[in-house]
Amino acid sequence: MGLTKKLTTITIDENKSIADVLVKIRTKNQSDLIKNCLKAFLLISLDDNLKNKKTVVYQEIIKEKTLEERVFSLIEVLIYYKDVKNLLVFKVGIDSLRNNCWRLRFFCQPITNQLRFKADIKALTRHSFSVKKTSFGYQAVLVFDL
Amino acid sequence: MKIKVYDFELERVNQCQWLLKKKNGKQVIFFATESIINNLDKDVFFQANNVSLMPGLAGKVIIMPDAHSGYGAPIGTVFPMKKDQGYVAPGAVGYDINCGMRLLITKLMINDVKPKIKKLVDSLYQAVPVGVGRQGFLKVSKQQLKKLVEEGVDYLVNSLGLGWPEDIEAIEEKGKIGPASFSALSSVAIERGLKQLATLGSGNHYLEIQKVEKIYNQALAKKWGIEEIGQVTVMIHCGSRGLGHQVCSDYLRLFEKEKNSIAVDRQLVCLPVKSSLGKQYLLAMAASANFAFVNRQAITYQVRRVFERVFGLNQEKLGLDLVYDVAHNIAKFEGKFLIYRKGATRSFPNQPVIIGGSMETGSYLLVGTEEALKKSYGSTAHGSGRTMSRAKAKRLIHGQKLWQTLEKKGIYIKSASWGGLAEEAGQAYKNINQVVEAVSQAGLSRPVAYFTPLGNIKG
Repeated sequence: MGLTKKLTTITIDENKSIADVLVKIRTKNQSDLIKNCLKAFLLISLDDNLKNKKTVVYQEIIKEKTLEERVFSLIEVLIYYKDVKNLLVFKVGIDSLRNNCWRLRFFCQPITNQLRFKADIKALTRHSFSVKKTSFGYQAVLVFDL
Repeated sequence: MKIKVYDFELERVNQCQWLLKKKNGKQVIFFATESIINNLDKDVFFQANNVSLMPGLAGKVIIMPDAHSGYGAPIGTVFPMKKDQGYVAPGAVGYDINCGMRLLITKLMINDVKPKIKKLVDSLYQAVPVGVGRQGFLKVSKQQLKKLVEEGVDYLVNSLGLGWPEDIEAIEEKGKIGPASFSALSSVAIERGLKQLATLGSGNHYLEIQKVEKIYNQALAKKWGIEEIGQVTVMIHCGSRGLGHQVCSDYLRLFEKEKNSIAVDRQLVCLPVKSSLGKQYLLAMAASANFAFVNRQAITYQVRRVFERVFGLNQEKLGLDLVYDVAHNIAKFEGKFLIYRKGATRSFPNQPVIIGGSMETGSYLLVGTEEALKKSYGSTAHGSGRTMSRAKAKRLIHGQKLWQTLEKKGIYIKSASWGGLAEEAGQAYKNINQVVEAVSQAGLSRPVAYFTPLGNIKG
């Protein structure tokens, strides 16, 4: 029910709840999990493809005890870049994923009138939020507040 | 009479009131007609049930006729917590702290405005940023932001000169919920606030030019500046922007990490009112609420300037007096309780109540009642309430076609995106007339005037 768009292992469920967007992500490893979280973020946010003219790169360290909290922090960074730095992260480079610590590079593009947004992600909620290690790899359920 | 909705047995109290009795003695009251009850989405009942299981509750859980499922608690929920032994739950206030409505009344008539509606809406679109990435005209330092969130609208009007002293009197709690503390905000919340001050945002937020379509209570309408049908009004719907969202996110995370926190649902995680973190959240929530009041006041300042420019008239001839400003998502100490209103409006006797509809239908001005104090902790509905998700609305409704249809009807819209427009289409919401009829029959508030849209800007 409610399956509208599939992109590799991302499922956006539009009927799960009235006020939000629920995303399910299944991946083989943590690197893919990180990349697909970003893909989901972009899929929900943008109306068209990125016009990638100017790129700014930032390095970030995400250190949290649990995988779930690291994913939460990753989304918080994406929202922070959008709202405070006025940058849209379009690609993430993974330098290392060790000891509960992710060293990442964020490839960003300035938010200008040329970027057509269809939604503004304001928060990742705790509603139904989960990130689990499964037999096939990892599964995440993310509910975004728009 | 009893009806069963999604395995929940509801007892009919009267035409607009239904009781869900719980085995633990707790009660959930639904203020709705039978037709509305039968069309509420399933999660409303499950989430209302979860709210009734929260510790520290001091009375009934109230569900309004515009309810729809939210995160943790439904949008359209009111409940009282014990003042000293109650619990603080950031998720029960919601993300957009003090998302609210503001109504301005002009001295202009439809014939004055109609010929200039496109110029007016386009100018407002330039002056009041909507959507992603646009910044507001008001740049403040961290020190000034501290003053704004701790002192509220008073500081914006009396120190920064953005507004009229009489505006303050027409805002819930006079535009300052206290005590509020800047130091309870994270650096991220502060940075998001600094960037987004004086912006409308996106989602269901809007700024609408309307005309008076019907007057139900002449005496009260006149008292609030509404003289006749065709008079032009301005309605503003927005909240605490990224600052409020960040406060909710930050504290939900912090609450979860506390050993003594209780979570009926993860989104409803709560701590005692007297706990250090509970107190800290209330200070941060009040700061966010004040930011929202300030935000709507700053937008009002811009609206007045744009009207002056477009019509070439001074304020005396334009009017644009503030009728009222009400909060939707808030927890406040009122009387003996800490009252939570998530997607609900305060409705104290003789207080103006603003219920905004979709951009296709219309909006209402109502008055609060004594009955609301007895039945719903002085609360009423806040809007029409969604009937479909934003994503589903975008799939079913074509934004550009909707824009054309509305233009043919004489409603000029300026939106940051077609998708944003589609998700706020009239068919994505309940019929506002039915919601107002329900709260009126239930005695929670009574209609004073009804407005229909002429122009709208949205994110």
